[in-house]
Amino acid sequence: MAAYLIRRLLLTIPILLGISLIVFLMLHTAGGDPAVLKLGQNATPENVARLRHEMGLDRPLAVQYLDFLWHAIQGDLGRSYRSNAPVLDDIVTRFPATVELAVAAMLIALVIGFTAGTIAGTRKHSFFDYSSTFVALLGVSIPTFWLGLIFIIVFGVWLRWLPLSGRVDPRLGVDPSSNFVVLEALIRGNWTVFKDALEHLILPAVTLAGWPAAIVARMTRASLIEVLGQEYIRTARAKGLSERMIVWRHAYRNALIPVITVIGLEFGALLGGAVVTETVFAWPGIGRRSVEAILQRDYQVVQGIVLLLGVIFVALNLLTDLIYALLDPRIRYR
Amino acid sequence: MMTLRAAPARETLAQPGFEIRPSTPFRRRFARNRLAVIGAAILIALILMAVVGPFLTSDPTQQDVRSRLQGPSWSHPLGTDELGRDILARVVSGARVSLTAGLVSVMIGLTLGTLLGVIAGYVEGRVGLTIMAFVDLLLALPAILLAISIAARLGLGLTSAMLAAGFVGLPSYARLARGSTLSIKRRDYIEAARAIGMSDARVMARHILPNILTPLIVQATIGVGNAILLVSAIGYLGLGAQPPTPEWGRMLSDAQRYITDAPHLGIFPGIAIALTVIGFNIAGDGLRDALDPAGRR
Repeated sequence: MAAYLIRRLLLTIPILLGISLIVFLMLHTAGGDPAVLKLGQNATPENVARLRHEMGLDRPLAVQYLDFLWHAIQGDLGRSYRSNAPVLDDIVTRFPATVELAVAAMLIALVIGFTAGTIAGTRKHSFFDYSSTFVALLGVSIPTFWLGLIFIIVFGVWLRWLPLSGRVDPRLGVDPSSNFVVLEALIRGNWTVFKDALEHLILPAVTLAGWPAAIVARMTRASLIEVLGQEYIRTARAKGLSERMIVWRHAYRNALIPVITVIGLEFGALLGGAVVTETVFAWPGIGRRSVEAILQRDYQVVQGIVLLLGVIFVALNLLTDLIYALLDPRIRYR
Repeated sequence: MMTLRAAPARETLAQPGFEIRPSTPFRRRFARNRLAVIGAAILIALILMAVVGPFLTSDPTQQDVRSRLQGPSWSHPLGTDELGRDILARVVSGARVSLTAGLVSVMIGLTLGTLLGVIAGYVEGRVGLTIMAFVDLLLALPAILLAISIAARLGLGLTSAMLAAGFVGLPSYARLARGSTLSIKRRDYIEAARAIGMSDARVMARHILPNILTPLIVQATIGVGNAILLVSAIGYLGLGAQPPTPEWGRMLSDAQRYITDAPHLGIFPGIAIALTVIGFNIAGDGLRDALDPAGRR
């Protein structure tokens, strides 16, 4: 296992370098000269040239990339063109909101996906199987932002059960763009804030859960059907074990291995997908921040956020591979 | 010599599961799959709507501020938007925008991906590995992030959104093309073509490409649906098609500003996107099943 771990860790280094290069090449000079962006269109050429020199933009691109990489490794992602605040601070403040949303969505997706997938997989060709397959098809075909919009119309505008957007009622005096609001309120026993934050969380979390729930359900069903057709399951049936015992103790163990891979990948995609969901619900996370930054042409911020999410995505993939190897010894010895 | 050159162009199709058996015609197998037929019907209806629709409805950019934000009525069957434009006309014209966007982005991803994948599979060695390392890098970022980065780099607009969606799809075609190429490049007819002195480029174009096309086309059909989803998401975020282009994603983000007064604005463009994507998904699934009697991916 140690050899596998080291090999797998070493393999992530070129991937991370590649991501940083892509992000740098795409966003470093996106939207024109950063010096012009900072000074405005009316700046004199001398001033622009001076600022370009100060910002190091007159150096060769390769040198600028290495400089960017060197600072990024130390946690310095540059400063916003707009507010001049360090990009990392911006990200650190807003990241908990995104994590809270993504974790809630993943939990919902797992509960729905496993339940639907298991029932469909153990009752192949039943009515439930067909309907859940159909719902899963809807899940991967309906655009996330429209699902969110429909939820807002139905539960927010028509039924008035849940708030339309935001993270917490501003009248409660909680800073909505920082920390884990739900978790903190729970720990402090502040039930008013807890209930309000939870109500704000439900719609975005369910919206974001749609896609991964469909994927997990499909995967669980397919994997379970395959495992249930194997000989050791027939042996278990022949021994007279109950169906419940067969599914839970024998089939699940093997059926879940491929599902776990999918979950790992989906969680990474979920953080990316939060870009859209956060925009729909005005959720103050880093996804919405990245869109705002693009529209304001504040590419330094976009670069930082994309780089961070890319690194997290790679880390999640690594973690998934390791769990996979832990669960299935055959992987390690390949 | 001639017998050698007459390579069995469509003898086998890349993966063992993709062999076409002459005994059960493809068309009948596709037609037996009711869901696939529904998918194909949806797509035909959409294409008709995109081609003929705009001639039957009013001008999608015609503003009439006096009749803004109206509900469905006889003169405006789906109501009007915040500038008094007819929503039916906009949804119908949007089909043209979205279908074109989906097809163009898939063509970009399919062409580049297949090219890279076939070369990577045929050449192998360091060149092949370098190509695949580049392709895998595109997978190292979540799709939407890659898309918005590309859109940011190229500037706001429908063209950037299409290119972005194209690049997001590229790796899946490249991987598929590479895998298929690897599996057929050692076949006798490929060796024979090389033995008679055919250039590598010609072997790839004349003998490898026709034989790996089927799984790629299946993937591309499903890919159009995903590309349309992505382009509309980019449009919704305000980074894609700009006003007054009637793009479904953008229409929904405009609709959201009036969601409490006129919630009906947020319904029809969404139904249009969902139906289109469902159409491509189930037609693509049906195509795959019909071409693959074993019923496996």
